[in-house]
Amino acid sequence: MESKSSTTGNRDNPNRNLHGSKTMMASHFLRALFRIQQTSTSSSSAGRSRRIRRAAYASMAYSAGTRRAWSRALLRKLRSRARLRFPRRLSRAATPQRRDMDQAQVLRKLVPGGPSMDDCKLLEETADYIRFLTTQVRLMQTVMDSVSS
Amino acid sequence: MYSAKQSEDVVGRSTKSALMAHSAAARVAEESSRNTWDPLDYSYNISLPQDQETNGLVAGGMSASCLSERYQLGSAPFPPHKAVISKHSIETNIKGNKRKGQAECGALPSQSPEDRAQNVKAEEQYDVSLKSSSKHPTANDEKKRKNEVRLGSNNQSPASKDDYIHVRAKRGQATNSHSLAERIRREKISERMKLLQDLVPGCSKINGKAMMLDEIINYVQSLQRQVEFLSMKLAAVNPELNFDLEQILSGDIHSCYGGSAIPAIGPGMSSFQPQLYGSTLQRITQPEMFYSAPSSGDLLQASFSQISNMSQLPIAWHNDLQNTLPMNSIPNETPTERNGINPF
Repeated sequence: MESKSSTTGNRDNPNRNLHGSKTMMASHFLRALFRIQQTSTSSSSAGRSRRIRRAAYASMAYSAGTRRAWSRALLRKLRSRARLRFPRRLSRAATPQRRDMDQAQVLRKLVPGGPSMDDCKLLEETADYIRFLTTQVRLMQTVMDSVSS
Repeated sequence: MYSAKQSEDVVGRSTKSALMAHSAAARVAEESSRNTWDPLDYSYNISLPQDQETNGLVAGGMSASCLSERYQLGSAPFPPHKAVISKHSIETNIKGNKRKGQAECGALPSQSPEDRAQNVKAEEQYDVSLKSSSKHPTANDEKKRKNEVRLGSNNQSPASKDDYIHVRAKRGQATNSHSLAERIRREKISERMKLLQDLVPGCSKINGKAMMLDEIINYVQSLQRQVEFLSMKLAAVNPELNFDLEQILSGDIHSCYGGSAIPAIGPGMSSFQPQLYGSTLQRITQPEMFYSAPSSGDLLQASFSQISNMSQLPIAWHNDLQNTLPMNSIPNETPTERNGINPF
């Protein structure tokens, strides 16, 4: 009950209670890790790492549900089996002026589903995306620590 | 004596007629100004006392309020701004494009009887204070204000009250519908930037929007890079992963969590492992059915406690998990997963 209220109240709840989604995220991710472990024992480490990364984003998107625009866009990307590409490359030639002018554009490229949002919604979705990203990173660090100790 | 009386009457009549003429003129002016409404035209207000602030606000309401402050109408709080907003809402109703005006109309009905009562009181007070020179303008202004308020209350009935965002135009701010919308948009954006400031570490001191956005972009990029890095590490470590988790899920749970939960877990667990290890992508259903069992929460809790115990996890994570575990809602949550196509 408590986690249900927290997940449905995510939009209007200023406390940003992520408890329910954390456990969902963790269970989904762990299951995915199992599966990857089982089905790709012979493939390269790069391929496995790509799959693990995809599993991470998938568990983020699943635990966020369809309430959020970014999670919907992520789920769409995952279902279409497109390669999960993210603009990792920092624009090394980025002059500060260009950065200032295109900040919203850069942010739109980073957040999934970004290009189709106005500024106000973009900031809201960015906040939620950051929340879930931090949770996911902490989860992966936890698994990492537990496995390697 | 006759002439004296006549003169008195004449004087009385003249003053009365002057008064009536003034009020009639005021009413006519009101009518005319109502007919040809220009929200930006503040010049219709004929007789103003000297020190009036009319910056961007409709003058009638403001003049009345200023007068009230001067004559110290302290009986009830005199709401100058709401009257102003009624006027603004009238404009926007006539313009017919902005919703917020109607919302203000809807918000006003409780105010207007009070306003009218206050206006009546004001007029009484003004009548008592025998400043003949300033009396007429004040009476005119009061009448104008009363007319405004009545007009506002008449307009309120067709407005629907619940769908719209209530906006208050503060004193000294433009009441144009476009600038109102701009202001709301800016407030929303600043509100969200504040939320983001709390999320991104080390941003409490940054006050500029551009710098803040830079920080946000950097933070998101660093988080995504961390995900990639950790996934690479997990891929490298993976051969051991299997072994440990199997150990966790099968072995130590019995030792850690005794009691009624375990017998329920036992048969479920034995079916859990072969399903998972032999699983193709379609055989997702078995673990999900498993998770829908009421004791699934305990199993999950057990597994996570195992993980945390093994690794001396940061306590916060473990506590969070423990706190969530009246976890009867997992069966309600998993349908969203069940219906989704598995990306793998």
